[in-house]
Amino acid sequence: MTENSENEIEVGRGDIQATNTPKSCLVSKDLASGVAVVVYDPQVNVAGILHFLLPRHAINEEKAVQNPALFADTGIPQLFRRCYKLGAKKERMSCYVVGGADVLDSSGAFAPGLANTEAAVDVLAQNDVQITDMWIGGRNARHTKVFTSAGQIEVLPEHAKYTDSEA
Amino acid sequence: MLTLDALTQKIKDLPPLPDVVVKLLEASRDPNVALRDMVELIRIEPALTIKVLRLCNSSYYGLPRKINSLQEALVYIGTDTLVNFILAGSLSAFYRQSQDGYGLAAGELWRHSVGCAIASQQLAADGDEADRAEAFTAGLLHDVGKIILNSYITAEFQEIRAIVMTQDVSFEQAERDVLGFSHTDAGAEMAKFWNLPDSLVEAIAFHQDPVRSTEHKRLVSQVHLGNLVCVSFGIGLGNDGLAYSFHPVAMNEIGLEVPDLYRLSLDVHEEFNKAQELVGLAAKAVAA
Repeated sequence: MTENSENEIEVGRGDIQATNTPKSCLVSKDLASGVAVVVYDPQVNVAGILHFLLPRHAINEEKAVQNPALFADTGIPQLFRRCYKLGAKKERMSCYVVGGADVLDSSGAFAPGLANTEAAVDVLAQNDVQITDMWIGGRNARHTKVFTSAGQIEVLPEHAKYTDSEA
Repeated sequence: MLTLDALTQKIKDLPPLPDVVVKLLEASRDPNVALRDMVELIRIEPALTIKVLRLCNSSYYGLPRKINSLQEALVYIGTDTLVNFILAGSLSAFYRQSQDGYGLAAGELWRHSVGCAIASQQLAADGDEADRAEAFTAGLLHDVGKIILNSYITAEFQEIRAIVMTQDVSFEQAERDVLGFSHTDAGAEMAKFWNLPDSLVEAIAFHQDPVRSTEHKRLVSQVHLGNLVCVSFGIGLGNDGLAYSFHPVAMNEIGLEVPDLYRLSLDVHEEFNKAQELVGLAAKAVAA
């Protein structure tokens, strides 16, 4: 599944990257409770990743102004705008959601991963974006990559789909 | 199963704590010693002094002027923060190796420890400077037991992981089930062997299960939550993933609600991004 890429662009925590550079891949690592929204337009080979940390910018509006990528509701629109600037069109774009794991908590009080996943789904739905696939929840961190040449998306560990299960 | 004797022997084979660390930690809990005087008196090796001054001048601290000596650092940074930098500079050497059993590349355990130090210190914001400095130190040391337990984890990883997956318990609980000890137990034994203050021993021992803390509940709660913030936001993750338990009692102890913790996590994220000099200490070779 991997491909030799000449240009690997890292997407950090609270970060957005979009590219149409040929033979590139965007990679976002250590997706724990944080969530990556990964998008790709195959017609213009535009790929984008947002790695956000928290669901809503009301948590800290000042920080949202400084860095919209921290939150789902400010980061997702920004991701799409960055891709549109490179020629992508919403109706052509695949969209994936990766991450949203949580620690053990029988009280249910501390679940930022679940909150982030729900926020991503809500914001995408409100903007009429259909989600192509999701790798969410569980107790594992994940890495994700998207390659501009074919829109291939990788999610590691490979068995981390929906819930943890051994490969 | 790991015996206490085998664990103790492994601990005794470790290098001793640097003399400067021992003296500073002793002084920090002796009300008859002015820590500032101690910092002025102790002999700090040139290599360590260079590291400490680099930290003082890094963007993490953000001073408008350059610091050229420890005496200047005392004036502009303050004793407790300077002590934190000296401790970090000294302790980072223990964390330089990889811990393959935990899936931690070289420097990754240190990275997580610095994150937890920063987070614990943020959680101690309501305390005085000494409280904040103690929280920083406790966060820095909380996972020191992984260094010792690593080789046993490598041998028993599949069994530990299977317990985590099938019983949905913490990795630490599974360690104890398989090995008889967890990394928190091992870390506490290391801390006792090094004659660290009781507060640090307790923080290391109970940071994953703060219900068990006795004398230092507040500090243990700060490290518990600081650790979870780092784990949740992917700062220094190993193959134990997010198999950590959240204990609401820690929130009650500090007087926090979950939205407060979310807001705090943003501050931790920002401070951690500025702390790359601190993070880089475990990646650099010790100067001769």
